[in-house]
Amino acid sequence: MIVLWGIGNEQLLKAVHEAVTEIGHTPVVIDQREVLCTDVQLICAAEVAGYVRTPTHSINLCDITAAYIRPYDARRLPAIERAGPRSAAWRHALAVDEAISAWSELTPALVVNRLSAMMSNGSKPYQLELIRRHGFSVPDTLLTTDAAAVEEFWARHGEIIYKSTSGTRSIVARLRPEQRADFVRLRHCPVQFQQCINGRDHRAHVVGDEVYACEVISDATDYRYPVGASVELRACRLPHEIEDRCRTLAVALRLPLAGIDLRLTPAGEWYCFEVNPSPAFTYFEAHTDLPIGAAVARLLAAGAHAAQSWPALSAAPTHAAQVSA
Amino acid sequence: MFVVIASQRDEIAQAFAARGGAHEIGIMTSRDLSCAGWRHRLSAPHEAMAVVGGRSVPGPEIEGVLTRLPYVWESELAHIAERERAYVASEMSAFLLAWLTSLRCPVLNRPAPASLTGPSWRLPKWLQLAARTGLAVRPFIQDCHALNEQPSTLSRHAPDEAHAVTTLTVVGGHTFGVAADELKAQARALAHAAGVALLGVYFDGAGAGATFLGINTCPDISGPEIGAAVRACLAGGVPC
Repeated sequence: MIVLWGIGNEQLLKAVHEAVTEIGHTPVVIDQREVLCTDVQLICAAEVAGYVRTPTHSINLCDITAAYIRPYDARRLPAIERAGPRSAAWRHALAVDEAISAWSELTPALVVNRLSAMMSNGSKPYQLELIRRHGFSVPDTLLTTDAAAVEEFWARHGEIIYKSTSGTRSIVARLRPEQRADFVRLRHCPVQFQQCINGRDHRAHVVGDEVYACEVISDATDYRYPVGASVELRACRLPHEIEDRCRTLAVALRLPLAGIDLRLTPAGEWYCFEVNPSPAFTYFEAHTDLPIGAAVARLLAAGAHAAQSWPALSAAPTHAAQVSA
Repeated sequence: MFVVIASQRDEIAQAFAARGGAHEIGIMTSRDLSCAGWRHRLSAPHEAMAVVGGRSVPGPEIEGVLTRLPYVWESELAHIAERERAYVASEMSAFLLAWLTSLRCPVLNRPAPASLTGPSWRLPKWLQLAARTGLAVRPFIQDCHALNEQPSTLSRHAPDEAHAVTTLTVVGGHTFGVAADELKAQARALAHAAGVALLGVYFDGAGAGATFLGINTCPDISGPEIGAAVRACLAGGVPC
């Protein structure tokens, strides 16, 4: 059984539903909009069992072979927000979220993607270091509360950008001379600065073993927010070595589905900036015809067999590895 | 020097720092993250500068770090404008995760993406790991019936220290607390399986075969023996 958990009419959930249906499976949707009519029982010890009952389905958790999960914060659902934090509805919605989230971490089924695996994106420099360790060039990066350190870094690289350190979405912007007046605010909290890498953006979607890439033709510093600049996406093939590196990185981050942001410099060097653990692949699919949704569907259909590459509990490192990098 | 990352109100951290022994121990709070002087360049960790207790400290002078703060909470940021606190707390937590991960010295515990004190797993995941490690567990059952009037969250059902009969504290290869040797060995095995060097483990009794109840990745280290073991671990003198 393939389960989809999230907002039933959300674009990505609908796209995955459609793609899974097209290859002959009947996915079951646990629609968060129906959370107040959803019962969950979770039984955990060495194994996990239980059920989810929605208005239309009764799901034995042991029957699930694969799940695509894209949960929203249930507290922001209109019915829950209206009911308020002291209501039974609020408590129930949180409990259902917690129970299904807990199941998704424990089940041997394939989960695209486990919530714990998505966490590396919560700290960009932390994730960048993982990316570097897996063979990609990464931009020189400074986190500082010190104006003098920014000046040195700026002088070293000529052009630098700044962006949020956490997973909070921010527009990547080049640092301009007139912003020196704002340096006094640096002392409130470390700010992330990066060497500006010129080149052409590429987005690689890794789906299991498959890699779907496109190049982004745009003059914008951050093509997600082009501000008047044009953006064109073209499907392309990455060099085999880079494809392999993308696969290895996705496995290392325990992400069966990953959106990897790359840039190819004029000198032919590939830089990696970030791995998006919940990529909005429909945007790239719509502009390039890359069959990413179909690949996600095939991956889900492979289910538990594919899950072996992305186990629920990662092997614990040794204590020695814990205390020495 | 050793550094303890802690809440401004953490009395256990302050007591630990006061008994520093041969090592200077500084307490780093969220207030230190709002001081000029931090420098962390990913490609040059040896050039790093930190701020500890309001003082700039070159990164290489930091010999060990004990983390007692799972995240930077908004409530710790009274010095930040209220509308900015949530964002700043999230930025500071993300920064500390990257900085702690870059350190070459002992760090108790090594941070995980969702918690600076180590794995932030829900109780069911700890139960599963405990069961697979050979500890006795009682199945955890959570029922969420539609519009149940009673709170039904994992935290409500989670056994914790208040319900524990026996608390064992694992520090590196040592276990502190009064219990059967078998239970102590199980506590160490659980910490090892979880990849943490510092762990409080709760049981419903002290005898062999007692049932596992829960954990704490930020246990009480105020006892002199436990404190000494933590300092030894930070100094690299104890396998951890």
